[in-house]
Amino acid sequence: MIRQLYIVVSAIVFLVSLWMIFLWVPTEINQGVVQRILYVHVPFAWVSMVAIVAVAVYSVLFLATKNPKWDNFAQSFAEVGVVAAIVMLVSGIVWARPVWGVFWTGEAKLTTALILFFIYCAYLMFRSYFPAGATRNRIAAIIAVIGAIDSPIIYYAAQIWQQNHPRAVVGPLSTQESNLNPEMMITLLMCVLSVTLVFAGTVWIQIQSNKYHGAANA
Amino acid sequence: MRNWIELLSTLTLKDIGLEIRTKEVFTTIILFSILVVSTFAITSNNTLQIPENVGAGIIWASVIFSGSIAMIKFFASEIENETLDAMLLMPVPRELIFFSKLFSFFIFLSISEMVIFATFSVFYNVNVFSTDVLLTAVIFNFGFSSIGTFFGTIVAKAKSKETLLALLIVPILIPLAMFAVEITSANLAGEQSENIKTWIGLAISFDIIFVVLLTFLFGKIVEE
Amino acid sequence: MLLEVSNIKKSFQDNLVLENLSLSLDLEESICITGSNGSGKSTLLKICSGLLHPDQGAVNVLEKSFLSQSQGLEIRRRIGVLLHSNMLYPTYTVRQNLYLFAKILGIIEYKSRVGEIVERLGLDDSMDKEVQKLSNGNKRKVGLCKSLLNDPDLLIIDEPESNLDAESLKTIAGILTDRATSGKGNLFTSHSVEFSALCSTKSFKISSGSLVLL
Repeated sequence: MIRQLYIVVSAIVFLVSLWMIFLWVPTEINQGVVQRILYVHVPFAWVSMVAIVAVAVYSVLFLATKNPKWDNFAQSFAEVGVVAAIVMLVSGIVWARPVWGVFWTGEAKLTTALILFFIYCAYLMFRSYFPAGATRNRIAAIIAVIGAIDSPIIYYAAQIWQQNHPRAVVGPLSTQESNLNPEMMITLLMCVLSVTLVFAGTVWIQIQSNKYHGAANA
Repeated sequence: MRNWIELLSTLTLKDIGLEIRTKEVFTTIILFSILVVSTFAITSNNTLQIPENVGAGIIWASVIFSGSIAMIKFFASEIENETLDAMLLMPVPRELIFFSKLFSFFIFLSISEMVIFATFSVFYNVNVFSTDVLLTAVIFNFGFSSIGTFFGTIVAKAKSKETLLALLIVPILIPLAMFAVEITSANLAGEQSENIKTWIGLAISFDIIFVVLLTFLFGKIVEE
Repeated sequence: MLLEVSNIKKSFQDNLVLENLSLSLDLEESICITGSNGSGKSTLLKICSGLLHPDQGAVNVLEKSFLSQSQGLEIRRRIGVLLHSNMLYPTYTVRQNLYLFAKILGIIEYKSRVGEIVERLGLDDSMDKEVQKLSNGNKRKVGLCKSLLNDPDLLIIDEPESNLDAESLKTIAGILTDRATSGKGNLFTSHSVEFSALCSTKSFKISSGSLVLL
């Protein structure tokens, strides 16, 4: 019952946010229609960040308690998180070109996001290439923890790096954050809500499915 | 304490002795990176026109990739002959097994790098050798060896070891790689990086954090 | 008590290998474990030598546990282990291998100790050959020498008879019996009834995960 209700609510929220993005929200003056990518980019960046934190937290929990449930949670968050990260990266690249004039720059946040995406990939790749079992789950959790410890260092290094390597092209977004008017803000919040709902639902399905497969081979 | 040092040197000398017989790690690192460095030299019209930061990137990218392939060789034989298990059965603390591997790989990597620097200097008509770059190499090699040893042990039992190892260590090494490229490229341009102190501080803290962390975790990855 | 295994359970993924298994080995005892392929003999020996941890239950060797790092080191100093693989460096000579392991074990007079053991197993002629160039039987003997280096209180061997001829088997059986009579313990697996009859004081069979006295 709860499940059906969840699907219906998410579907409604999702449709409403689509309507808001394409029909309701006014077009931003400086950037034009392209700015609407914001409503996709920000929510997915948000959920992939949630996923990173969740993977690290559940991995630590798993190492501390040895309860396979937390390992399953970490894996499921990583799997959905990596998809969210792809959406975030691609939408960001598509958006940067008309706004900044380049697809990619050496900006600290971008570098960190990309590297974290690779660490996610390595984590998942390790899980599928190492013989299944308790050892694999423990090492995977250790990799997640190492990744989590490494990420602030990466961000810091990328910031120092950026100081000597100024951005190639300076666009309107880079100098100052454009202020969102209330309608845009509401639309953005709605999109964050809808993507979060979809994300949580997907993670939940993934956990169930991994639990089922896990019973067979872990 | 003295016993531990003796044990550590016995274990490190063992790895060096094995390497002298097979020469697998040296051949892999040196040949592969010379190949990368010379391929860039051959395919660019005029190596004098290559910007310093690209040159520094070529050096360190070739070190990272050839090093991670060599790391596989370094561990493959230990796993194949189950000699890592033999060490685990001996009265040796896990940390010493980790350190001995770290030190011997550090030595192999440092010697090979001298060859790589020399090759690069010849092909690109510059002088890579300088105090800053050598200091950078020491700090970089230490971090690389510790992370490589740790993940080399992890992937030894997995499928597609080479791809997996590169995918695991390259992202984690990015801060060190940035540090190495920054210092080297400034040196190639004949100046000193303005952030050199920050970078060295960052790189040394990176090394310390990872050596402590990985030493602590090493026991947990070798036991089943 | 040299070895005390109580109620251990070990499974690999879904495959339950050992369940509720208990075993104790006292001074002067030589225990042989038999069982069909895949019955868990090797797993049991790996657990007793501290290479694997049981999912449940406790393993105590010389009244110490592998769970503590310092006690684990103490145990490893006093046991000898030869598992299915000989665990030797193939590009090193027999001498280099044995000297290396003797040094790691902290044996001070390692040269004379190695010479002593090698002589008993008749490996004198092969001392300066690379391990990879030896026959399988001789490799097995080198592995055995390695496990005997520290004159262990407890010797754990997985299938001592593999690759060996009748002559060498007798020597090994002799070594095992001598050890047992001089107050040490042996734990080994075997497929050969004759061999186990020669040198075991007790025999067990592993069936469906636990031990049955034969």
